[in-house]
Amino acid sequence: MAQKIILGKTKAPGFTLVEVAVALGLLATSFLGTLTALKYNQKNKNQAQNIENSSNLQPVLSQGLENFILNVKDANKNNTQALCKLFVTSADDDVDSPLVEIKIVLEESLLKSVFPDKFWDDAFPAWTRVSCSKENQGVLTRCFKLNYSLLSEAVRKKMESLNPEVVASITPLGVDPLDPLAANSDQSKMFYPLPISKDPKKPTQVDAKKVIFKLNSELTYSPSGTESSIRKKDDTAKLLWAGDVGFCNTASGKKLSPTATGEGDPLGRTFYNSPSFDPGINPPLTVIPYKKQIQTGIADNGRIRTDLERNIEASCNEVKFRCKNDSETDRVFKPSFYVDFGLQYDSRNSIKAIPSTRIAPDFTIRQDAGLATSANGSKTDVLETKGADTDFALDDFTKSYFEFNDHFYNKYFTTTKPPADAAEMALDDKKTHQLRVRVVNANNACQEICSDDNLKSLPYKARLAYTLWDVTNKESPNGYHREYLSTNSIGCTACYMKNCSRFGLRTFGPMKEQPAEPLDASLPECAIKNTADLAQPIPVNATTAAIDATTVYTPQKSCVAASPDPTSGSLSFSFRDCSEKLPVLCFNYGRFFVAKNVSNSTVSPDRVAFADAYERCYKTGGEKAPVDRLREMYKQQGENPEFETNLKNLPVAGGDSDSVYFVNNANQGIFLAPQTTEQIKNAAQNIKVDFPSETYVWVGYRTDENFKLWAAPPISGGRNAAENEFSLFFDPNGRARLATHKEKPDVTPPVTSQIGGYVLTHHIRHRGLVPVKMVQDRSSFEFLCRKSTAPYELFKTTGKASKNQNDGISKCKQENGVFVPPTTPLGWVKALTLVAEPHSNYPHPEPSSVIPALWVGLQTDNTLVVDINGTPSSYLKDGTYLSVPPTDANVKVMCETKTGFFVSKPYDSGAEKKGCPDDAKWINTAALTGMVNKTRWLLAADDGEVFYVADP
Amino acid sequence: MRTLMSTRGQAVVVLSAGLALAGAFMAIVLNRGSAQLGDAVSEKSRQNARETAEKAVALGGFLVANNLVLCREDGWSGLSRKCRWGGDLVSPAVDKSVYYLEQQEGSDQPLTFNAKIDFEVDPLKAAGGVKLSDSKSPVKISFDLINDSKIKNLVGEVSASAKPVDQDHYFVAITAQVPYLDVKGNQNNFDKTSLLRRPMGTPFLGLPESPQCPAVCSTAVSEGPHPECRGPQDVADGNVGSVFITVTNYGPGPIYRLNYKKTVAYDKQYFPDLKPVVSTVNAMATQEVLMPGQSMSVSDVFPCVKPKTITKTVVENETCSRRRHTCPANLNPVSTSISSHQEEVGDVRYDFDLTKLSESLEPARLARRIDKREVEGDIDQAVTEKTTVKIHYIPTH
Repeated sequence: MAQKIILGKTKAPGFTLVEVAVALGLLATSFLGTLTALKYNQKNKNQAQNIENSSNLQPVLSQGLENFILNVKDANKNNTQALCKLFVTSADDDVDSPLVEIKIVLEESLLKSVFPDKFWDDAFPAWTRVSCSKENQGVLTRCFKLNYSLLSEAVRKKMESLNPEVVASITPLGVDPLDPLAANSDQSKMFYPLPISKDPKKPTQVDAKKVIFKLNSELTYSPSGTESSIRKKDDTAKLLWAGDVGFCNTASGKKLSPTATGEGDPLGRTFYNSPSFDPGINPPLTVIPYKKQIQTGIADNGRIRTDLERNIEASCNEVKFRCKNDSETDRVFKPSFYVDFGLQYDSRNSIKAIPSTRIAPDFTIRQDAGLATSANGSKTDVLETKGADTDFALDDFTKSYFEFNDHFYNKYFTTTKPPADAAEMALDDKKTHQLRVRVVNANNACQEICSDDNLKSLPYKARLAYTLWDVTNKESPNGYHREYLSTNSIGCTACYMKNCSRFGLRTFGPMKEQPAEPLDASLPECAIKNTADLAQPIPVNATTAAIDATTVYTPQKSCVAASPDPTSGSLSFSFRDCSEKLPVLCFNYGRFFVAKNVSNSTVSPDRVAFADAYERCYKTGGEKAPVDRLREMYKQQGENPEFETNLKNLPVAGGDSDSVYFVNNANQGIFLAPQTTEQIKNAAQNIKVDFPSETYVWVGYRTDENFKLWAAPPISGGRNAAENEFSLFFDPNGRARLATHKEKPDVTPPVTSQIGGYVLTHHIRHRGLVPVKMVQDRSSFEFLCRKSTAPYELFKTTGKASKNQNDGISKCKQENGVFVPPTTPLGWVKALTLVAEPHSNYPHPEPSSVIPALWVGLQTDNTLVVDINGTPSSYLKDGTYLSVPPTDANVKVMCETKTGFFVSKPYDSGAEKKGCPDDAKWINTAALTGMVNKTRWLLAADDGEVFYVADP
Repeated sequence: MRTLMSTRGQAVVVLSAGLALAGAFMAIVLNRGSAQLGDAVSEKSRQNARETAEKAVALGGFLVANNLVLCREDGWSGLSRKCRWGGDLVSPAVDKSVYYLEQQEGSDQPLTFNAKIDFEVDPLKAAGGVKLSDSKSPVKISFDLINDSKIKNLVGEVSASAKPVDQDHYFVAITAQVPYLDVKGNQNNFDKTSLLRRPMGTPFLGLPESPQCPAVCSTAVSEGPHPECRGPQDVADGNVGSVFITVTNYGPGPIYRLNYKKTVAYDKQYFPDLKPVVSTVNAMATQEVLMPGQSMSVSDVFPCVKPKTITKTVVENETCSRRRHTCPANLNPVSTSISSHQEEVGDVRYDFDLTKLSESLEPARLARRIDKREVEGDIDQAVTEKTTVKIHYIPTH
């Protein structure tokens, strides 16, 4: 390798260091030339030829050191030698994560093995290594004397007089001013020496890109013409940054990039130094339970939109309205519900940096006891440890997941359990995944989850547990990491409406906030299911105080108005002239409210006479709808030829040719008075909120001269105007139905100057009392009766249909009843449901071509000219009740107690008080005279009972 | 050996093309001073200058690789140059003075520091050992970001296999200028320029929440407080849904540009005429740099579209049979309406189009593993990892 050098001519006079320099330079170049792929070959040659003095010598020396460090290629041209041998990574070589920590290891035995003496000897071929003096000891320090035997005789002599010696050293320096080692440096926080550990177990490790090597060569010689004892020292330093290496190869064929300044790598075969990556922070799996279960919507300027803020993660969804007081087992839930989790695997995680993994999801629904403090003070979710006693078992469930791909629904995986292996998900860090858990047969689970109206203190939660698999061990994958995640409480969504499939505001919502009545109800259906409500007395007194103490009662003044009481939050009632025009309190949309005119920008109450209140309440179902939008709605739901026809029939709204106006019979309202304490309170509240300045509003009560209230019988509203012939509602599948209603009750109308009867109808189109001829020409109807014994329930006869209303007395009696009408608002509601039950999905009965009807024990005044096609004001002048002589031996008398309550007692014709207790008052004929013209023996008592009062 | 004219008109010598691309540092050696033989003292002075310049560029490379000097293709707001000191953005902050740097004012030139770079090291001192000497004529270190269009022949090209993930055409040119007295006693400068690519950043898009398209519908004018829809299930004002995306830079270098390709695809059953909509999301908004370890969130919007139809057929038994299990009865195909509480109607996907990587990411290099299939396959289809979330359509209730 080394060769003897014969110096040629030189421009410099005499023998100076130039000779040494040239000689060394050529020697060094010669040495370098034996290495492959030398970068600096040419450069060195040039430098060597230009060397004039010791300053030119130094680069050559340090160049040797630089090659020593940077010439990292092995025989296969891979960068594995020298500096590359000092690199270590934080990851296993078989790991596929591109970002790792790359450090330089500074430890004595390693450095000795990487840079053995032979390397130094090869780097300084013209020199002979000698022991260093005491002050020049170091792991990466070597001392040399010139190898004179390699020189020509002439040169050798000169060199011997110069006697050059070299101390070559490599010093790793830290360059991170924030490094604690920098703080220890007594002179600079930059370029501070890094300690070289002597303990292989505790090597110094430094971020590879923060290390600079100082390559120092110190030359001492005796200058020409001086005494040999006078030594001149000339040294120089070169800095070599670890980044200069570019990259290193690993044994497994990967690359290490200490500065990440090189090429990108599409195959993941390069480790990039990323010290900012802290694997202790990143969990391997991010799981987000998606909040996409809608809970409620909000009204927004004439439109409805979803309230995303209130969405929840998972929910038991009721599909049928259930009254709050009904048995909880009556709730019907959707048979399945979904819990969707978004999953993202991050290969740069705290567990193991592998590019993909698998998980076996384990889904349970359990009651949550919150966080418990364990013995060591850490908080654990009790879900994890709660045990079998409270573990809630699902009947069955399926798991499925979507692996997102290029196309929607491209991959869909579902499985039932078992087998367990099929329920595994493969996860890699290049895609996001969605785990969809579908809980089937959910009804039973939901019954439990939603018991107590979901107000339980320990709510149920969905829990996803998973085991991450070490897929790098393909032979025997091991689960090595188990985590779980709890969703927020599983919600319970209750139907707020009978029509729980409709598109519209507040169709459903949180169970905890469920309203008392369905919000699309046009009858207080829940109140009548509650026997306590049904028996709740109607308000007793219609006082005169509100009007004028001197007002004298007359039948014309038997109509009742309500006033919100500002202090009690209740209503007070007073009797007023029936022809007075007042706002009307109606029931519709699940509540009592004052009918209002919404066609103007300023909403105001409509004022009508009492007799017109029936029609006005019916019309609270009126709506003005945009035609184009309606058409588009139907189009979106698929072709519907029937719809176009019906749409054309809808009357154009006055003053707005783009809209139609019609009374939606599916939403028709009713003139009905509030009866229960709760209803009265709500009604008072609604009046105050809507129209705080209104003092009196008509309510569906009449009174007698004793100021006792009874329900104004509900006359059917919605006569034959064209706008009244339509209904528009959503069916249980959420499809809109627009229907035209030409149906009429199949009845013989009343005849002029004859006392007529009433039938009670309940149909989407016609609801309430319809005056008819007392003896029908062709139609027969069953009878609405009341049991003659407590609790005097309303019922309808079976198999006793008759054309003659008067048959009611005998027909009812055959079923242990009496032929009397209801007397309370809720009694009338109950009666309507006896005519036809509201559909379980609608607030009205299932639409039918036949209008069901029952005979009711009410007669028309014989002076009335009534016709089914007549105007609403023609009906029920005085609320005339049918006169039925008491023929029943079980007739009772009504007595008013000292405390103002009515009680019934068996009739005793011989007794002074006809059977009433001594301290009670017998309600005699005289007291009832003014109530209605011909009804002298019928009253409703405070306890909801109905009585005959025998004609004395 | 090749020669080129740098932006400052100096002759620079590139010694080994491709080294900088491979991540190595020493790319260019420049010597403006003549290499004449001459006075030993002067030559010693020049030699010292050379050594000092080498130290200076070594320091410069260190500063770039450690994110202490940041260079951005589009420059910085308020600055007319492309590089700036980045010590204030690393955590904890590092002041220039720690490296004995003093920034030279002047906005229209490369980032230039006056540096005390001429130091001595005594390797044998147990602690410390660095002596800084006061430079009478301070060394200048300057940084500029240059496009490889002028030096392409010199720096070489990235390997074919790396091209899909390496479209970074920028180099930081680090120039050290060291004054010295030449043989005639004149003030002269020794210049050395090195090229280094910026360290790559690694964006990671966290899993976003499921985006939702809230529906709206018109209602009729009525007395009902809870009206029904009297119009189609439409989309809300602005016709957009939003998704909150969070990006973390896993480093090691900063990210200066981050534009995701966003593909919004809708279910054909609800939207038979709708083709996937592709757009670009700037995940950095107006922020100019995302440092390693830093996360930022941006609210992204995507088009919500009115469903053409709101009924669809769910064929669940198909996948069920694929698993060879007995299909439960409730997995039979059913025609269902969107009227349920929520429906999945599409998805939003974020990725990089590798054919436009330089528009998507700066520096335009990726350290991420890409499927071999995707690299070898149609390059137009090659994308990086995909972050996809389902769009839920929330009907009005």
